[in-house]
Amino acid sequence: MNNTELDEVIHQRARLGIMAALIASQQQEAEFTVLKERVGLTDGNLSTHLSVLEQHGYVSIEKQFVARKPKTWVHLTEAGRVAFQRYVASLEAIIRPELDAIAQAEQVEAERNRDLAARVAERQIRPLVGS
Amino acid sequence: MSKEETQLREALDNLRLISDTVQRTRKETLRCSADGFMVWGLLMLIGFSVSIFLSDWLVEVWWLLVGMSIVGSMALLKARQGSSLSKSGRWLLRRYAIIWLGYNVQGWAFTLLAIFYHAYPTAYIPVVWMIIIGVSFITNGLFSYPGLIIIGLLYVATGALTAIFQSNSAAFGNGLIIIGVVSSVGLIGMGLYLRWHGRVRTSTGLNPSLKPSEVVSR
Repeated sequence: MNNTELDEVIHQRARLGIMAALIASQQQEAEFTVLKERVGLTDGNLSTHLSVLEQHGYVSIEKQFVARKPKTWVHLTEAGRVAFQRYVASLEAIIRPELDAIAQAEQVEAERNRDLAARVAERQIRPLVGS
Repeated sequence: MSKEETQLREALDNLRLISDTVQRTRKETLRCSADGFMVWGLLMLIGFSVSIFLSDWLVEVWWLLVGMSIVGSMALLKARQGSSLSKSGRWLLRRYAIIWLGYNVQGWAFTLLAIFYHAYPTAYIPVVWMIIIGVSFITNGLFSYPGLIIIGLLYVATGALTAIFQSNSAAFGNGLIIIGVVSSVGLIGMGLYLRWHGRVRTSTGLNPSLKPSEVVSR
């Protein structure tokens, strides 16, 4: 995978939201209902996207019973963390040339303004020096 | 729109999505931690205030309730941020529970000794507990909020001073009340600070204002 090639599994917006929410959570894990609120998905949608992420080894799913109620925990795996890191690097590689171009244009503009200001100052000082 | 332009737009949108999600999650975590510290501090403050007016055995009942409430409130707050059952959360709560249980068992033992045998044990045992609680605060502070280190140091210092002046039980009592009030106010203050100035390092050691690449490259 080259630098600007995007991981299609993470590139899907809902899955990207899930990965971002997990990476920002304490211990990089979250309970299903909490995750659902954070990413704004329905139960069915979240389950489907989690299955895709699980198939690729990016998350692991743990089911527990607490006070006889089922609780599902989603953990970000090491492979998922690395994939997310690589994905963000790819996004940055895509926007980097644009950012560099903007920075360069800003630098040119700043130099032009400095030049202009110097010329205006020179024009204002010259008559004073001449008199 | 060319392929490059579409890719660039998608990249920017996705970076914004990552940044928003990360910040939202961090703020939520921070708010829960802030509430946790405030609840904890308030319970301790009430506990210490009531202790002053109660007799020995009632103080122990009170402290048992306060200890249980602290563990309970921390569990509830952990649940609110969705990590009530995480391994580390369980480990933390278990540690608090063990410390509070140990502290209370010691208190009960002292009270029973005093009632039935009119014997008053050495003040070195509470000193050991003060130091255990202090070290617990310090280790928590090292991994989460630096403010907890100060509270831990206050406990250890009070423990050490009590050991030096252990013959003077009044000094121990006064020291305990002072440390209790100071640490309670400290916890409430830290909670309020986190509430008002949310852009501080979170318990994961990350800053919510970080760029996505900085977030993942820890």
